[in-house]
Amino acid sequence: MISAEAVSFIFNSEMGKLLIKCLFLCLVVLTASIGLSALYKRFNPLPYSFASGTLHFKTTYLQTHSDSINTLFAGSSRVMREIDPHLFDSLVDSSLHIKSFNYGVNWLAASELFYFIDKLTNDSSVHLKYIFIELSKIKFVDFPNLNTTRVTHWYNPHDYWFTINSTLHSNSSILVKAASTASNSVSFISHLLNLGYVSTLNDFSATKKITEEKMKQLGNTYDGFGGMEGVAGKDVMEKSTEENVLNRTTRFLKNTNGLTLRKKWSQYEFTKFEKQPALLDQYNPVYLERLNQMTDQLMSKGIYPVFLITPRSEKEQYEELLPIYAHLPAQHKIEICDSRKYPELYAVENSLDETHLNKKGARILTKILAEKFSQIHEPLAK
Amino acid sequence: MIFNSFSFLIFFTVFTLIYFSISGKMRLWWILFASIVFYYFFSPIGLVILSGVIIFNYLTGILIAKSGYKERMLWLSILGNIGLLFVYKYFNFFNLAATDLMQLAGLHNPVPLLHLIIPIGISFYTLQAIGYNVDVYNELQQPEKKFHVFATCFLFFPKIAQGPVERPRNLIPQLHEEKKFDYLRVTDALKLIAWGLFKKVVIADRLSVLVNTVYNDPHQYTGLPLILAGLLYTVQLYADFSGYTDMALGASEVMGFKLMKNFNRPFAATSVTDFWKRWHISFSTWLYEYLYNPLSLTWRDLKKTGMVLAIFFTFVISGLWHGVGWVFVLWGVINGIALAYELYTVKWRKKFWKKFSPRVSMQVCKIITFIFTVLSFTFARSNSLGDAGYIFTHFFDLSKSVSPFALGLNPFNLLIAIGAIVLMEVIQYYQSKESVRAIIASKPVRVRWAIYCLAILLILNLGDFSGGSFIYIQF
Repeated sequence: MISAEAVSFIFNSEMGKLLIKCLFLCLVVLTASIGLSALYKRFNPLPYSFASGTLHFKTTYLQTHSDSINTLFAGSSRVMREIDPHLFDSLVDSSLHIKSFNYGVNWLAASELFYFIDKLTNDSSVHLKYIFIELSKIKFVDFPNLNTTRVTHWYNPHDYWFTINSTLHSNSSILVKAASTASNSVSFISHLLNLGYVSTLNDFSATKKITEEKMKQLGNTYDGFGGMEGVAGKDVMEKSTEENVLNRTTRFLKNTNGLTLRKKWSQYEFTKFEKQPALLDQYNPVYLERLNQMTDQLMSKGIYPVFLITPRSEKEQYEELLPIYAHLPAQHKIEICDSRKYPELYAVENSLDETHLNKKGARILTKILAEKFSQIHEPLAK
Repeated sequence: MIFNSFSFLIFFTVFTLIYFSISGKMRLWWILFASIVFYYFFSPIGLVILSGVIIFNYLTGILIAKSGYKERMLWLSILGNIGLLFVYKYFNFFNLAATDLMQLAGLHNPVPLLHLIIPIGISFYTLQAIGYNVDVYNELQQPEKKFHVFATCFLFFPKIAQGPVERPRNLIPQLHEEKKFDYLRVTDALKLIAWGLFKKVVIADRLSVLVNTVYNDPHQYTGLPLILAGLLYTVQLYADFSGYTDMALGASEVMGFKLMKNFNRPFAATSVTDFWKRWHISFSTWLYEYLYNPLSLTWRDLKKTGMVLAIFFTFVISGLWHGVGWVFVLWGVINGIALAYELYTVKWRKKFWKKFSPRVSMQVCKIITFIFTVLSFTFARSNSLGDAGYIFTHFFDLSKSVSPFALGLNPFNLLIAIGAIVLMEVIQYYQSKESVRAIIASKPVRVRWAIYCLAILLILNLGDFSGGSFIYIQF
């Protein structure tokens, strides 16, 4: 439909001239935006956790309790709902003086998570000894969320490049790679253009107020754990979100096929890699390099990282993550997602919904985690 | 896919590049295809319903012109379109009202509620369809025989979601014309899109934070917050809807189409009658042409009373068109009463204002009209009659003192909102005297580019891009 003549028309016509002018204008605006961004940072720095209420709340809590908290569980809602810091602290060797905090936040996955780990570990008001990091596949940004602050806030050139490069080296289909590159690039450009910066400042002032109120209410016992029984329990969410989760539980109990499938995926992928270990060499080198760099950086700061893959992942997650995981040093990983070894983590009675454990399941997972942590920690201690 | 989203920016850029790269005949098909994709993003089921509407009206248009049952065909088309609108938009409202009435009489209403999702733009395209059939009946236009032209007229993506209520007799001839790329027209259109985006994301979406805070729970407030929210809602609605219209008009202008103007500085209106000549012009002229005129003709024997009845009926329908609920009916009634009052008192008012200098009388009339507009829109924005009643009875109650800065907008953002509103009014004032786009075009290149860069930076930095949908899209 579009001929070579048409293409030549675009570039030799008035339309071509307009296109070139528009591109030049975009370049000027982009340069000015980068300059403005530097000014914003200089005169009105937002904290790195400004993008959402929960993120800011947990970060503020961490900063204000830095004398006691030395261990972090960082990751998505799975981490938030499935790891109980109080229980973990009671199960590990008391001589380690571990006081842990759950830094799980909905949708906090790679690369945003890695951005936060960089920020937290460079934050002079946070003093960590151990950090448990959930691994997840890099996903593309879905259309409705493209312009939201939560999506655009973390893009710096380094993390953007890692995201694109890692996506291109992943096992995803060409379509997914294209969608991911496009959506992440749009988000990066939005970030560079300071899209909606002043409104964000306004939203943050509201977030800040809510955070201060929550902090007063929760006192010092808060540990960031968002486990749920299937009835409204203690967590950081709004009531409407609790209701949503409960509706999800009801829907899940009506049809548990999704969970059975996830159990099978785990079983299938672990068996596949055991039978054909050569497949483990087909890992994503960009992702692995980032994890290795992160490990070195954290260790140089005296922080011991432990990588996890949480149970009930999708098939593509296992396919991408297990080869990377296999190449991580044994003392920096704990395996808790193999459904053959841990069928209880895939049991209906321990489920909040298809992808999350309930409080009972969280207790089981936390016990496994504490046991395994003790196993890798003892030789280190010696 | 709303206009103030990245997805629309990408969609429109790709669309335009291809549009001007293909031959003239293909362009119409390309618009049709793009419009289908655009509407599909809103609602795939809505697309099926709209397709049915297009086929139905395509056939009725031809039958009105060709068959021997002109009048019957016209009524069939009108009833078909109104019937569809009634089922999707009003059935549950009237059914609930019937249930309430029957309960008063101790009866049970056996008719169940319908669980249907209102297709986007249904209120707009059904009006266009009725207008088309009436025009064909009155021989103001020939029925369109080319189905793809007819379908494009209805699906045309810049106007499908929120109007303007374009007359097919205006758009169809343009669809038959071959469009060429015109540098000045396209750059002018892009400026109009940017202007619309400014109104939407910098003014309307910013004000919505404060307005929603108050109107979502008005009982928490008295006095200033209620007055402020009412005042700012009026501005928000204008910035939102006129911003959308500017973007729709701009997008059409890029392609070479001229759609109806929808606004003409409504806050400069000196009477309610004048306001309705300046606000949502495509809709108010539609009402005038297809509802008020036939009604006043029918009731012409009643003389002035007939005209008043026609006005009153037209505005009740207008209220119901704008939304489903008693607050909208009341809003229509209030406007109907105001217009009827103005009709009855036209001579007396002229005589009265002659006592003052024209400048003073005009400014006072503008203020009175604006206050009336704010009060009437307070009804339309309230969630219920109870809320509206509370708001009206607590405007001057100072018992709950809430700072205006505690309504979701911090002082800096409130200042930006006020600055942007002033800027909007100043630019519109100049626009009413001379084209602002022409003024900018006459400046040296450096100045022009500085203005463009500054405007874009203002929109990007001050705008709210969290995905706020347009208000009129719900109608």
